[in-house]
Amino acid sequence: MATEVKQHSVSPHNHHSELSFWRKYIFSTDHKVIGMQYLLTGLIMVFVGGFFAYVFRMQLAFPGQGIPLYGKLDANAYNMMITMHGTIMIFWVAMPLLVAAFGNLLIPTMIGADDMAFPTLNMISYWVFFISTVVLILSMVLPGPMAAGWTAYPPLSANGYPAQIDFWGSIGGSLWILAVALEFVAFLIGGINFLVTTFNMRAPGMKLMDMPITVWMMNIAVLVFMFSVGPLVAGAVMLLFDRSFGTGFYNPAVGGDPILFQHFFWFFGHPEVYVILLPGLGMVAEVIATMARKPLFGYKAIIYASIISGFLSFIVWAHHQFIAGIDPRMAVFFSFTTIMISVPFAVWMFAAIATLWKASITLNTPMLFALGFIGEFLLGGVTGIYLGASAFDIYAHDNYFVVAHFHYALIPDVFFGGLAAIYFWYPKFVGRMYNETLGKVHFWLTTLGFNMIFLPLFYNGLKGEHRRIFDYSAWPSLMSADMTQNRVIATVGMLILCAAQIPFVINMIHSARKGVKAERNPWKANSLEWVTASPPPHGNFETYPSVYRGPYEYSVPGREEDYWPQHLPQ
Amino acid sequence: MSTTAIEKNNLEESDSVSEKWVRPRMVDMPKGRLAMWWLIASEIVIFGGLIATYILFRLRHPEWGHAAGHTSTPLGALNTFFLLTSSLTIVLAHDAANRKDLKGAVRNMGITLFFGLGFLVVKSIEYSTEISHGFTLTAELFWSFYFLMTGLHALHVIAGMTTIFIIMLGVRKGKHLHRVEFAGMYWHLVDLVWILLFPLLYIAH
Amino acid sequence: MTAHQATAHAEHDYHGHPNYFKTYFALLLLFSLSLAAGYLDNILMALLLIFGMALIKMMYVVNNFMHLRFEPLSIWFAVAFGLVCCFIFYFGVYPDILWVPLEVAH
Repeated sequence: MATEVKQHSVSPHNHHSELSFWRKYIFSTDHKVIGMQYLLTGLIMVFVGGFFAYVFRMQLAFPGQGIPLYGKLDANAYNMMITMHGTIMIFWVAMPLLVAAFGNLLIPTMIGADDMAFPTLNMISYWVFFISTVVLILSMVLPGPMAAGWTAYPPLSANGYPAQIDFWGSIGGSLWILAVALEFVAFLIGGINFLVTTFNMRAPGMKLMDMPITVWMMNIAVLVFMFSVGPLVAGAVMLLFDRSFGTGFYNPAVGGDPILFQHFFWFFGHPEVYVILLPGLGMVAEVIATMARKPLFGYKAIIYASIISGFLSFIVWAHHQFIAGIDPRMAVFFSFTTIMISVPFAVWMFAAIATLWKASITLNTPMLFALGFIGEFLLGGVTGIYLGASAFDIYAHDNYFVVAHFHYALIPDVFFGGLAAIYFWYPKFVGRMYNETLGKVHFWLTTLGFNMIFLPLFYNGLKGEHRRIFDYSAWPSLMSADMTQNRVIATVGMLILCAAQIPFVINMIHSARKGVKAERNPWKANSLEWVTASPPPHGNFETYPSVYRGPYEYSVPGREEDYWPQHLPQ
Repeated sequence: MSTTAIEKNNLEESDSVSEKWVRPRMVDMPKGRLAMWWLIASEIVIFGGLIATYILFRLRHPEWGHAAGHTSTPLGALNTFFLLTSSLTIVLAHDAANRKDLKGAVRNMGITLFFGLGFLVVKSIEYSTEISHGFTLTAELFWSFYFLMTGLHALHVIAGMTTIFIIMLGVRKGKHLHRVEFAGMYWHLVDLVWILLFPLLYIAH
Repeated sequence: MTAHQATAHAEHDYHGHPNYFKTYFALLLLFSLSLAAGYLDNILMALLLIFGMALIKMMYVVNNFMHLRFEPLSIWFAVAFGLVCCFIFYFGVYPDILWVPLEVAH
């Protein structure tokens, strides 16, 4: 195995110094450059999606008034913005950031490989993703953008039935479908690459149970993605046919069924939640174990729990459709599985808390974000159990309670987990230390703003505030003093959250140029990516490491240092 | 590898029927073939989801039997024959490439392309007959499904043919012989889908 | 390891591979049988025969042409899991499509 890794690693990259700027930074086949490209694209898109959130949150708090930086919002633009906010945040921020960017950066370095199994395919994956981003942006500016929510349920997304075919008038929505499809292609290519890399290119001596938990989680996520996305691809083509050619796959008048699209969508859409969540859990576990200087509690239990949750995620999808009129007998089954799926995540939670038990904790920025993740995600998870019970869900599903629930699940994961990972691996892949003070300011402001937005929304949701409504003035019962006040509080929280990102941007840009040079292993961590120089050179390792033990051997009794890197012989 | 891995290998050896051959493990697989299998697994879910939906709707609408009677079983059968034969030739091409028999590999790949082209020609004859009889994409939901499924399959045929053609150009010069196998695996997948689509859309009425 | 791997791989491709022509003729035979089954009067029987033979044909292609039986068991599981997902989807959607009378759907 050792020789094999070296053979297909070193040879193709020896002449990298001759590469032109374009080959080195733009059309690069180096997994680190590709990871950075994904990361930057994701971070740029988060500002686009965030801007939409800013506009519609302002509209909800101060309806009908001109919005700074935008102007007056009309109902169609509002619908387009909530659609695009969802699409962008899930498919163009969470996926590229957590799965593609960190998968690319971490998988080869953590398993001691020089690059991905198929570097050229990896480059193609990014550029397909880039094209899909361009198509998505085009779909917003061309006529007839998708405005049916990010779930795009027909008949709204199919321009109604009987279909009024107006190909050019509704080109935006068709391009939206195309953009999402291209994005899936990019992640399928990338995902196959991850799997092959993990299975075939591990450093000599590294068994599956010696892999850092992040690598495990990335691969489970990719598998879940791969096996769930298929039906939606077929369903999206059907939707495109309905829009563009006037077929009736989702039209009951000719024998189709609109519920079918919801099944297609959520058969993918629910596993997608775990595709995003699992890498976040893995990276946070990594940060917690390193900063707590203790072995990760229940490493194998977490892995088995994640595999089980990956499997369970395929049989819970219809809990998104309790109010869509699905068969009530099936609703019982899906309620049961939904509540069951919280068990694997409880295992993760307890493992993380048990790791912190009696540990000597370093409270730096990545650790703060990781701890923030545990606290905030708990709230999202627990409200998820309420919503899993179909009786409660029928009341709460189409109001702000569910909005607050999934933001409490996804923001801790993408935002807190993603930022913990960005701060944690920043020294490794940029080569300089970030500024700790700015990082802490960023954390506290983010936590404050985030909770200010969504805690009031739980309350408003339970009082019956419906989702996807442009202006509540028409519903006097929803305009009571406390609810209006809560909407304003949420909007102020959103402004704080936006402002909180300023220190982050300053920190990232300033530290990349002026920060203190990072040493190889600033956190005294065990896994293989800390063996090599910061940032890792082309080909990653000067000498390819062998692995002798698991990645979480911290504070081993009888050793002088409190860590024991994987590559050191006995 | 580690001791446990060796033990596992030994265990599997004692299980297997042949005395020499040992079932390989995923770590020992060539990267390309492993990636092809993952690709095939994801394609299975795409076509599987579509076929599952079609079966559901077919069971819901027994009256589709009449519409299915208007598909041309002889032409569909001819196409099945074409694909089965091309599956044989591509696997012979793989075999020839393994023996470093460039001429044989290129010849067999050429025959495969020929049958693939034949498939597309027959398919377009079918399409034009059906459309001229008024069975267009929007005529009935059955025809929507028919055109969607066969169209998606035809796209895969075209993609497979393109792949085989590009690899054939390389094989002529003796390059990338191992890629013949990967193109072949994809081509077999196309064949597999057709084996299932043919009874679903043509025979069962 | 690479060299060893290559030989190991080649070995089971050369000696172990099944007779392709035999497989091909078996496929053709099954194919003509399933065509003939289309003319049976008993519809249930015909359907069972046709789809049963389609499945056997698929197994032949997968095992003998795609060499799945020479691959690691994990690959077998991966492919099977794809099918399992399709079945899960089928049974999850089944009640909403088939237990709903058409008039209600309208």
